[in-house]
Amino acid sequence: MNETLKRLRILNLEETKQKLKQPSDDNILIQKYKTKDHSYKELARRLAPNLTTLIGEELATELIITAKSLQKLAFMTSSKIQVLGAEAALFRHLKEKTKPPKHGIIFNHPSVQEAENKGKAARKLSAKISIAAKKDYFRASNG
Amino acid sequence: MISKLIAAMKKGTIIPLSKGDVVLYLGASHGVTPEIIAELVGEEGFVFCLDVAPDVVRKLVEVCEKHENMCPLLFDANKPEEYSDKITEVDMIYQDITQKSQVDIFLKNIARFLKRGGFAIIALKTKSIDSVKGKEEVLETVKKELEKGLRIVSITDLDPYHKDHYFIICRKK
Repeated sequence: MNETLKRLRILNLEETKQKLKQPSDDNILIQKYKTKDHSYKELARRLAPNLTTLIGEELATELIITAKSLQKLAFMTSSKIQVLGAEAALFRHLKEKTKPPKHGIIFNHPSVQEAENKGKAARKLSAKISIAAKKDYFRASNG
Repeated sequence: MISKLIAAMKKGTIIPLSKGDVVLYLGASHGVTPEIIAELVGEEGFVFCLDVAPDVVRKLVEVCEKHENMCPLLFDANKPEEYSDKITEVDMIYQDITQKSQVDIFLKNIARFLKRGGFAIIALKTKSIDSVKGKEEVLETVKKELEKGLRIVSITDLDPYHKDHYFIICRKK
């Protein structure tokens, strides 16, 4: 094995280890939001352009936090997104046959709050969120 | 499930590897097959293991630290320009990425890193290119694409070890 290969081996090993140590963009976003660092809005817009245009940076970030990552949010069905954050009510419904929840944290969106039929609005909005999240996750850069 | 390389060997394919070769492995995953290749090329040879997913590269780094002639690379094989200064010219390219664009990725990397007369091996999964067409039909279209700049040395059907898989060895003109 010649010197060039030896040098490249050490360089690549170090670089890969460094890369693995870096937290993912999702984790940086969650960290920034929790520590009330206001640059999170910019990051959210870069990470999920369609989602932020649809529901705003704050709600988009909250959804990503509740789902734990953008990938998990993108793989969710819209009915799951609709009741995201209302798990207590959902499981109470499944266990004790109470009424099912109509909305989780997407209740914070004005179009749900101001609607006359809140359940219908939440259902429609969650369908659109589902599409936007999928589009953001499956960008060309993400493969 | 055994490695595709071993499956091809069991089917009687001769792998054109010799001691001292420098190999680029695309889609290294946990580094099971790269480890075998590193063993085959001996201490004089070298294996560059490339994968895109951080989760599997964590395991790959552990494997590479054990062997003097292996090194990990965390890059997307679809963008060879990003890692072109991290590797040297190689004697062989081995590709095991099951994706729709796998032939495209293969050709891109060959044009950039393989030396003239070097061998290139692709483990082709026909189902990931077209899930409706039969495997022979897909193989024909892939063959046409490969023959543009390469000479096909051998084609092995990996059945019964791997379903719908072909092991194709090519040589750069």
